[in-house]
This record gives sequence, C-alpha cells and structure tokens, in this order.
Amino acid sequence: MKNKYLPSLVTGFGAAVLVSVPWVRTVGCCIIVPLASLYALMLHIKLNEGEMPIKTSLAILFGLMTGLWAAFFSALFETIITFVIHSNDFVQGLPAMENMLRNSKFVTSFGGLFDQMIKIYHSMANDIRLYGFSPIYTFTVLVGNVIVDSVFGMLGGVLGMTYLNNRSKTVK
Amino acid sequence: MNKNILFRLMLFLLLLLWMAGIIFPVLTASSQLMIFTPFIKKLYTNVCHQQSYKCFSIGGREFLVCSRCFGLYLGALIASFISLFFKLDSKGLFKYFVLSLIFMFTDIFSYNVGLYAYSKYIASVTGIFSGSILFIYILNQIELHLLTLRLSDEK
Repeated sequence: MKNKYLPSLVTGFGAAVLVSVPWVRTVGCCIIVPLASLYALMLHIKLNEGEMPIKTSLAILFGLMTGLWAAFFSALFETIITFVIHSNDFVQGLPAMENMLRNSKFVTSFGGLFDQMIKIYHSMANDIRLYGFSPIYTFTVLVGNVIVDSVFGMLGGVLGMTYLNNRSKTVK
Repeated sequence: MNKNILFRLMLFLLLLLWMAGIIFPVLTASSQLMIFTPFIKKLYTNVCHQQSYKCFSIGGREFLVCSRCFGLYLGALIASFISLFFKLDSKGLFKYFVLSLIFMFTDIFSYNVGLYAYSKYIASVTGIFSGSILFIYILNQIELHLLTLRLSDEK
C-alpha cells in the first residue's frame, strides 16, 4: 500500500519521543527533527518506491510534514507529562524569571503591562500546579513547536535530499 | 531586482529576525518588550538545551541558546550576508563541512571526557564554521530548485 504521509508521521512521532527525553534533548537539540526528515525521505523511497533523484519540492513537503507531526506530538507529550507531574520547566523557572524582570531598573516604566503579564504567567503556573493543564501554556507550546519544527524539518528535508541524491549517483 | 538576490535578502532578514530572538533579553533590557522573554525563551527550547553555564550573556542577561547554537546561527547569518554580494558555490564544500563536524564533535568529546573545561568561545567558533557551510549548502540547493522551476515554466 502506498501512503505518502505515513513515513513523515512515523518519523515525526519518533522525533517527538526523542525530544521529550531530557538527555537526548541536551545532546541532540536541533538535529533531531532534521534527521527525522531525512529518515522520512529514506522510508518513502523504500516503502513507496519513490523516484530518484528526489525533487526539492517533495523534500520540502516531507520536511514540513515531519516537522508538523513532530510539533504536534511533542506538544502532546509535554502536555501529558505536565498533566501527570503538575509541573514543568516553565513553572520551575518562573520565580527566577520574575525576579529578573522585577530587578530591571525599567520596571517602574512598565506600568500596567508588567502586572498584567505577570498575572497571566502566574495564572498559567497556578493552573499547571492545580490541574496539570493550562490552555494558554499549551497553545504557546504548540505554536512555538509548529513554527520551529516546520522550519527545521524543511531544512532537514533539503539536506536529506542532497545526501540521498548524491548517494544514488555514487551507487549508479 | 534579481530574483535570486531578493530571495537571499529575504533569507538574510529571516536569519536576522531569528538572531534578534536569540539575543531578545539583551535587546529588550531597556524596553517593555522584556516582559515577553518567557514566551520567546520557550520558543527556543525546541532548538537548544539552553543550559545556563553554556550560554553567552551581556550585562547579566543570557542569550536564549547555548554558545554552540549561537555560533551556528551566527555563521549562517554571516554567510547569508556575504551571499548578498558574492555568489557562494557549494562545490567542494562537503569536505569542509565534514571537517567542521569533526571539529565540533572533537570539542564535545574533549570537554565531556574532561580534557578541558567547557569553553563558550571554542564552542561558538566550531558552530560558526559549520553554520556558514551548512547555509551555503542549503542556499545552493534551494536556488537550484528555483532555477529548475523557472526553466520548466519557460518551456
């Protein structure tokens, strides 16, 4: 069965799993999603007997799809982990961040904006502590993941295409 | 304006925006925008571990990525700026790219086994080297694709 979207779904899921592991994240950080895009292209060629050389548009599409799946699943995993442990790096880092913001010599010129934002941060942190879930926080995580992972996924797709095309030339 | 130059200018501006995000706490130290730091920081957690002792800081305000990632993006930004004025060809760059990766992994291995303490400067230099070469590679591939599209349109 030919399924164009299955490879990016599988590798995007794998990337999201790896990104959720703290140690792997420290070592791999920005290379996990691009590598997932490369692997998605490799899977596509194997499973769907994709044409060689790979076209740039296909590589970008695969990269984008992988990035989007990785973004969705990593946001989902983070939400689940936060729901279970009722804490995350945002909650833990908020006091230090607030301290830094309050110690700014410009804090007096902030006026109402500062207090409003701090209120929002506190309500997010309180929701996470009490219920393990904050809609604003989850939305922020999802948007951030979508922006960053799709860009890095597309970069990985283009690089993967170069690598795979060069390799097929060498084999021939 | 030449389409290629326009495309490169767009890439340069996007990279500039990305770099501005990295140094957001420093740039906004005297502005109300500083209040958005937690959101911007969260955005960069996807691409970097952000360990404090590995991040550059100015005036006590840390960059939002580690020094190696900062070097990578700075290298890409420098290469994109140069690409506005000169044609950068990726032919023969592969060996330099491999060399840059060897430098990077040697540095990672060396401080992890305790040969020397982590140096932000060494890490960022290895990043600049790889980032610039990687950018030239990607730019060439995308421009090649755009050229193919243009040729097929003309046919």
